[in-house]
Amino acid sequence: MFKENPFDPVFDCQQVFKTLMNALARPGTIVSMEKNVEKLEGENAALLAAGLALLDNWRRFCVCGDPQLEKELRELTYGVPDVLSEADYLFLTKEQTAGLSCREILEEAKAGTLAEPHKSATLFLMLDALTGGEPCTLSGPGINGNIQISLPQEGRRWIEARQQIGYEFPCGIELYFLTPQGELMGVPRKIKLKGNN
Amino acid sequence: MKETINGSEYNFAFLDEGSKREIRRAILHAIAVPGYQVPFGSRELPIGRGWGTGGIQLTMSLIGPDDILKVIDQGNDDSVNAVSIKRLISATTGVKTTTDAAEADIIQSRHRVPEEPLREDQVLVLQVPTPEPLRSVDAHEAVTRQLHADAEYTGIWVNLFEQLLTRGSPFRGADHPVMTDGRYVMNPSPIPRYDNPKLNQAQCLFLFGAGREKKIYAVPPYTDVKSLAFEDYPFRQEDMSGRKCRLCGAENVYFDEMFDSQTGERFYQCSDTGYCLKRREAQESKEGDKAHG
Repeated sequence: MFKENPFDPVFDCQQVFKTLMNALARPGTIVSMEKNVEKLEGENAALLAAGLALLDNWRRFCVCGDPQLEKELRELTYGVPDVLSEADYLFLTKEQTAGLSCREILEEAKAGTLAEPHKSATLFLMLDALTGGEPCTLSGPGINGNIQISLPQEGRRWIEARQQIGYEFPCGIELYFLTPQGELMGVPRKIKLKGNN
Repeated sequence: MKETINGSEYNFAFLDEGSKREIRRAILHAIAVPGYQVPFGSRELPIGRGWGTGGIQLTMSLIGPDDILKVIDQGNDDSVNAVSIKRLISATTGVKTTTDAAEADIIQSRHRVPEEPLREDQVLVLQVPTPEPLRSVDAHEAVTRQLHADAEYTGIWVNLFEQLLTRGSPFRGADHPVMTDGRYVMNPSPIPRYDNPKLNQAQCLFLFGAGREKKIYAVPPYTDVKSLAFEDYPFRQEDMSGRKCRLCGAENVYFDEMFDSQTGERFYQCSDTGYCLKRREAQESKEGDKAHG
């Protein structure tokens, strides 16, 4: 599972966390954890890197029906696999990101409560690329006015579905979009999407 | 991976990786919900709780070997608390430290926001003694948590109004509460009111850590942070007009006041010592250029 240059549980995890933090603090900007991701094998290496930074035996995760990814995450992180409605972190492969019903997934995932909004799920969604789709704008805390992004439709539909559900803030779900190369974009719960058309 | 303090070995950045992971998860939740206090399992450190342990745990969880660190205490790079924290972090990580706010990647601060505006790539970690702005409204955590959930902030407005009636001003000397992103009332840590506006629509990320109270909260960049004030009592910072730093000549910064009891004279000096030092060095190099040129 590890290549010659192993993923360091101290320094690589720190760098991956810092990338996740920067992505969430500056929604819509594309950041990279490529040099950490390339130390792991497989097309879901970026999901594994995120899992290694955040999961342990105190946190539950769900992969929505990919036993191989579940096995890899469990063995690497000691995270506890669980059903969607109990999971703290959800990891979806490219096929699942494009194919699954985002509304169903989001409605079943934990959104926290008004008193404890931190007891919510975070989704890691794999895409081929983070650009190349129809342009749209994001606005909210972390963004200076608004930012234009061109997330492909497979990713954008998750933000739209989250918006349609209309959680009462502070309840909500965080979305991270990743590419196999380790590019990353964070879209926290307060961020609103507007189409340019 | 191991770092040495007096012959003993420690993990990089002192904390074990499980602790860092717990704190990192809390940081991400805190950024996602600006101003909301995320509870976390505060760890034991070789420093008493209430002496910056929240800030240290945040810094230890963030820092990497290539980062440059600045630690200030009431604006001062050289106070005992700042130096002790800097030495602990530096000894367990090997990172470079600085007094120049512009050079630092991570700035840990007690009770001041540096004078120089911070950039998008910088993180300011603030040490927080009392994270709960509603503690004066109700002593019970379960109650204040519910008040935040309902955005029920009548109590703190009444507190400020009572303060206006009894003391003539609704403004606290430090730690004056703010409304973050239009949703959460938040204690900005005991920074002077002078620094409150620096949190509004700032470029950098602010992280707040309360080790004793076991809370982490955050203000992401470009977020609205408004100090609480009444319509007929608009927010006012401390008046620093007419004052000048006796060392660097700076005006319109936050000053420390010193009093000579023998002569009765009052002196003012930049509270941010790194900023003051940088100005003096720039002045000296300018003078040196002139002398040689």
